[in-house]
Amino acid sequence: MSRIWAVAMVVIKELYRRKDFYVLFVLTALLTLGALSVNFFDDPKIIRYVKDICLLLIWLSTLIIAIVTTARQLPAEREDRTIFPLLAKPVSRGQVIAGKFLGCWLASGLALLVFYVFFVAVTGLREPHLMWGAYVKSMFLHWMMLAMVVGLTLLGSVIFTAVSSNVTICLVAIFGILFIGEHLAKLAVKQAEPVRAITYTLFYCIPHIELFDVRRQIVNDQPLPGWLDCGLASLYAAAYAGVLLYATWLLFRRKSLST
Amino acid sequence: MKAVSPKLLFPFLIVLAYTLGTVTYSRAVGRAAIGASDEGAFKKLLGDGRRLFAGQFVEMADVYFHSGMYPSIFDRASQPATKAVTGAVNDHDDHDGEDHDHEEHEDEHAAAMTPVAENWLEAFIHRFRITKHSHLTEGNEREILPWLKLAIELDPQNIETYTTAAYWLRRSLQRPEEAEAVLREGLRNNPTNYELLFEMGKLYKESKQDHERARNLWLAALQCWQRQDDAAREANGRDLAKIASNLGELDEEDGNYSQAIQDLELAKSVSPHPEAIQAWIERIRAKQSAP
Repeated sequence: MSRIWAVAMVVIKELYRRKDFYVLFVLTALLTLGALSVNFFDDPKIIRYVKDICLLLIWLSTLIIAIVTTARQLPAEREDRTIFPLLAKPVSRGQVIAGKFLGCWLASGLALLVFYVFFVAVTGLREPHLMWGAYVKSMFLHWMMLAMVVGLTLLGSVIFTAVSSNVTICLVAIFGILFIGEHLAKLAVKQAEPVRAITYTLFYCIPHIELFDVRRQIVNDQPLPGWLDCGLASLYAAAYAGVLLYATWLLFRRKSLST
Repeated sequence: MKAVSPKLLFPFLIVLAYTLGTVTYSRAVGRAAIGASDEGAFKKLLGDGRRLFAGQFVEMADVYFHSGMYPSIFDRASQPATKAVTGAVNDHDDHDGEDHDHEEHEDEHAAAMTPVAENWLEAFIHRFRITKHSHLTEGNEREILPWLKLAIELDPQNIETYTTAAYWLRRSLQRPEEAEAVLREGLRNNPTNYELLFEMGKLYKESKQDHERARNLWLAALQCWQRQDDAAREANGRDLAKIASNLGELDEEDGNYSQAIQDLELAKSVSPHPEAIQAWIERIRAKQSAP
């Protein structure tokens, strides 16, 4: 476990050494504060559109951070040839995969925490009652969703040779799931065979990332699902992340590391 | 070539930025002073393509009005639902004497808005969605205003957006001055639109209790309606009934019974419920003949 932790710590250090997080955070802050400064009908109590914009930017930023950070882990180790001394420590390939996953997931979680602190601070400027419990639940679900994203991207980094192609394909897949993932069953009903069967299979097989998106509840001050449902969703995310990590390990353990 | 010292370059850049800032600001102020119209950032950025997004922003207002509980385009394909945020304006303007069953209408609306899960996975996903149908109340309707304002900026020719924004400002938020400003902006962009004149008349009658101005505005609305071509008049007959019946109600309240009957006769000629208006006319005649 200490070896996995050591690999993970290197990934976390990389996050705060690189500029990606800072750029995205400053951009999110500027756009949110810009939206906050707009005056609509001289009503200072209007806040929901600001929360909506801020949460949208947080989702986009954290997805980009998680995907970009994860996608370059294994290719960078191979290009810099640091993978060989790492494996000679001795650290097994499975431990490398687990360490990289843990590091990327924790790094994304740290970034998420900073973004949510900013969100709560902005919301607190205009809303007298903050829904602390809802914010914690929302952040927890968001973080669990990022576990699936990190797992998917790590698998992509073993399959695709270039970082850019992995990032692009992962972004397209994840945005596709976010937009139409939960509606695939409705689309399937209207299709003829065999498209119907394929669409149904896709519906049941894809990781339903959109499940963890509870922005509407936060924006509209609506109650979030109970902790039992959140726990079930976490199990769902953990199961998917586990399957994706196992598939990554299966491919990585026999992969030639010479470039 | 000799390199310029950063110590000199930095103050030079500050002076340059300040000079450019003051020059562009004074030019902008000068242009505003001579009455040059400001087209707005959206028009400059998107041109006429901005109109495509306006409908999306009205939908966002409707999403907020439903506190986030809103069917997706896939749900709406099988069960179309009307927008409550814009529908409320017409619901409360119809004075054609027919009793509305608002509760039944609400139930139908709630059913159309509620998505139905067809398998266990959808049912699980729905546990993470808002499933209680509700509308914003107690002043929280203000949250829809940013989206309506943006929709107006994007499509200044969409009349429904002005009337919707003015309706919520006037009725729920009790801010008739802002509602009037919205309608005036609409009239500046659409000078002969009878719907805007009608809504302005409602504002003067209900919020400012100025019956004289309300009557003048509705008479102007009536004239604008009549100036349309034949096809438009045929299509918008219900709007004529709306204007004429509101005029009739106003005249009845002011004791101008003969004028009220004339207005209602006009409304009856195009109303989908002529028998209800006829009953209303009979009531006024009874009042007129009473000592």
